[in-house]
Amino acid sequence: MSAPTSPVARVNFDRVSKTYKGAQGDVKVVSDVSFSLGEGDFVSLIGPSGCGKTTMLQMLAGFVAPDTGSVTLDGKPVTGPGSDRGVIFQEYGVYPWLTVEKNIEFGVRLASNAKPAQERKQIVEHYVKLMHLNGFEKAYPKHLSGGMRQRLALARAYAVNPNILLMDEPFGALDAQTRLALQLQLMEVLTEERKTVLLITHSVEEAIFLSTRILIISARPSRILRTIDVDFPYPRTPDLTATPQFQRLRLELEEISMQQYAEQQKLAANAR
Amino acid sequence: MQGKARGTPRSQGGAVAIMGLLYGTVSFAVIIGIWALLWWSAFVDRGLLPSPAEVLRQFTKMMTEKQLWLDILLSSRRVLLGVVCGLAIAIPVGFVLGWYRGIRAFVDPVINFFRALPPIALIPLVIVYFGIGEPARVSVLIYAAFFSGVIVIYEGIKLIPPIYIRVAKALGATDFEIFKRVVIPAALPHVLTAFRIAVGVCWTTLVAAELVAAERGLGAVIVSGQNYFQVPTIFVGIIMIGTVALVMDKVLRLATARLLAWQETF
Repeated sequence: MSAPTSPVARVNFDRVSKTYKGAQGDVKVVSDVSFSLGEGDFVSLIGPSGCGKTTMLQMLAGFVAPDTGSVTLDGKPVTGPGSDRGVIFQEYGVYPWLTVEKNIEFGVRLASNAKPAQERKQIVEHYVKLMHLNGFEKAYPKHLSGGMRQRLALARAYAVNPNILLMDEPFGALDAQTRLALQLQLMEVLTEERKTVLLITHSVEEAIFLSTRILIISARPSRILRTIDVDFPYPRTPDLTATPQFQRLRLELEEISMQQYAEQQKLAANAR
Repeated sequence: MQGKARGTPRSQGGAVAIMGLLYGTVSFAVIIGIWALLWWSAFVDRGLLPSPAEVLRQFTKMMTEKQLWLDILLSSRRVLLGVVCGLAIAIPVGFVLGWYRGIRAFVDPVINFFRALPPIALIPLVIVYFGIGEPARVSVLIYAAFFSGVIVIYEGIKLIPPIYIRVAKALGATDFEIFKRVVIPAALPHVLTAFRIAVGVCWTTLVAAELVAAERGLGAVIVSGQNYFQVPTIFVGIIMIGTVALVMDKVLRLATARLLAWQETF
């Protein structure tokens, strides 16, 4: 399967496979996956739990190395994590011992991205405003709600100005209202500062609303089943979700993902 | 605990501290009351159970005539020296063991062996090696502080959520930066717990050491009370040990509350 390669491809997954060795035998999680992300692409991966989406994201983040094939960023193979890729984790990972502003400036205090104090202050002010954290600059994360913690994690990732964002179910642990608010904010932020994004999500609606392209991933081992281009123009607003085109696409994708879910269940049952 | 922003923690902290002091005072008042009642009823032989007033008189007398303050000072100094020196070794060792799995597998059994030995059991050996001077007592205390502290620190480091390390790596942190900016602050609560535990263990050990061999110190006070059959003196010694240990623990708890203002609590 050859991947559709846009001329300004920044990220390339080329025939990537990965097998985890475990006590109960080896588990092949990713099988011969190829795709690419161009400048400004927003690509979502949707597929059943435990299908290897996270492994794919972690390969690009530099936490996991592929067994075969290659993952390249601007033509160079990914060898480890780096601040050119911002990673947003589902469990936020905000540092409880740092205040909101200290969390945001964490990355720009590190040697690899060190900025002078004056500039750090501007960065903090900018992202506090952008992520609607005003008034909480000196608060510790224990005083923040779940949605605010995730916004803080986003602000911290943004502060080092990565041009690629890797988001692993960033809104998965939030209630529906907060989730919607954060999706809109992400849209707002991306309109202001366009990034290349790889998003893992379980929500078909979230994927359609945010993405320029959606990859449907099969049950384990991960293969790309379908690639769907989402052509709605940016920036998108909530009324998009009420359009017939949006709803038609949603139904179509939900059907495919239900099939995949059933297959994964079968797989799990057989494994037992 | 994903609560909404709560009220200012500092004012709450003040109220809690006052309530704590109040509760503490009340519970001690109750104990002294029962003690006084027990003495007054003569249920226990008055030769064996002095009255609170008698103990207080003995305390004043010892403070003014027998340099009781020197005993308090000496014992406290020994404990502090033991805790500080013991943890000065335990903190780096604990960090290394917590961080490098390979070394841990290697050193774990040894640490558990020595940890299982009550420091008091080593006192005879230490006396043979160092005599009965100050080095003997302090070395036992360093031993006690080290082994009680090291395990708390390295178990604590093992428990640092891996996500914290990953976030730092993704933001471009070097290993040294991860250590300095993530591991140390994340381990701080455990280091402070280690201090509290070490202080407790050192007091226990110290008194045992002073009972065996010391001319001065609160343990020696208790022994002299026994030798001259002065029960009030024994009481003064016991109460002083408890009081000083309580004060030390309180100081550590205040330091903890201050350094760990960020921690989520129940």
